[in-house]
Amino acid sequence: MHTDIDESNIARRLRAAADEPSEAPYGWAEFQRRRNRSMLTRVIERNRPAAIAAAVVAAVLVTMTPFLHGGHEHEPAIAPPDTAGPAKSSDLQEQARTRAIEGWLAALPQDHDLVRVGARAAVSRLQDQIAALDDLMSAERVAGAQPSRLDALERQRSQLVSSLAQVQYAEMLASANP
Amino acid sequence: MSRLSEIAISEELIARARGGEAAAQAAIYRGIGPAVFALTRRLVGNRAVAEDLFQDTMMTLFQRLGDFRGEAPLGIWLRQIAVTRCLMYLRSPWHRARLQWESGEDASLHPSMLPVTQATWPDALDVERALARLTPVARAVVWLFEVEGYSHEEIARLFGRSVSFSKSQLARALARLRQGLAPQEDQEACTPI
Repeated sequence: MHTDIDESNIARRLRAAADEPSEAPYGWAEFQRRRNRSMLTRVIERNRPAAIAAAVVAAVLVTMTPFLHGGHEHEPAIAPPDTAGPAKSSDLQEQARTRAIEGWLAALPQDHDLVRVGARAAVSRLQDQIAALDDLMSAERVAGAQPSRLDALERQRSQLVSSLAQVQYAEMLASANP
Repeated sequence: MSRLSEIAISEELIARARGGEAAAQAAIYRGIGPAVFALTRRLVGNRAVAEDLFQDTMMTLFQRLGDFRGEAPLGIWLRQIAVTRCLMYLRSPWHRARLQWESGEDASLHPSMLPVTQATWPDALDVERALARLTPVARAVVWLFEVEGYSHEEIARLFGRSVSFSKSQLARALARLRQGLAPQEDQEACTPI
């Protein structure tokens, strides 16, 4: 015998299901961790236009620097040379740009008024990676590595130097505007 | 007790949480979080999506606690936030695309859907299964109307649709629930006394 179920019966059973015990998907500590991460992401998103603007200003300054300073490559600049990564230029141009960036880095003051632990750790890590890559390149040259292999390592080094300049430049801006 | 509208949070605790006291916020989270998550899962179905919406809802709670005037219980106020978030998701192009993508299979019966609660009584699992067979929109409408006590006018406003949309979705949902729950009723009717 088929018994039709009326709406009130369904509603009663749904409400009973609603009264079943349930649990939050995670505890308070995990909620806070996710909240902090989400807030950090929002801060980064909010400041992204400012970071892009700073990068554009830096690129313009880099372009103008040779004209303003008579092309002295190692003279300290306000902003690092073009750190946008290897462009579609020859390897020689890329190496020249890397040297220019390294000159800019060398001219930076070693002590900032304000030191951020995260940025300092990133700088140390990048410096270590560059040093390790230098060692590797020396070993490869001694071992008579293929030019293509050395070029690849050189490009990798250029990228690391660019990254280092970006971090140092951001740190310099942060130090100037705490 | 798992319904948001029935959870009471003391004014004193709310005031402390509003002042930024972490212990008070944690107590509110523990008291009200399970009901928020249960409602969110009921409305959107998928657990991973429900977790995201739950996180968003709880973050909004603590961000906007200063705006809460206490004219209604905190649970009712928070329920409105949770429901709005869930319906925004159900109306989003992303969700509709996902439904279309999964239309080839019975997405409503995916393991991530069941069960929302711990099903401590015999009939509960049947209800969970019957609910899981509904489309997300139909499930949301029937839940808001039958359990949360929303009117057709309120549901229509929340969905940005007409009252008749709400009524037709409810009728369709009830018809499917009737089908899903009928075998259980038949068994009960045939059980010798």
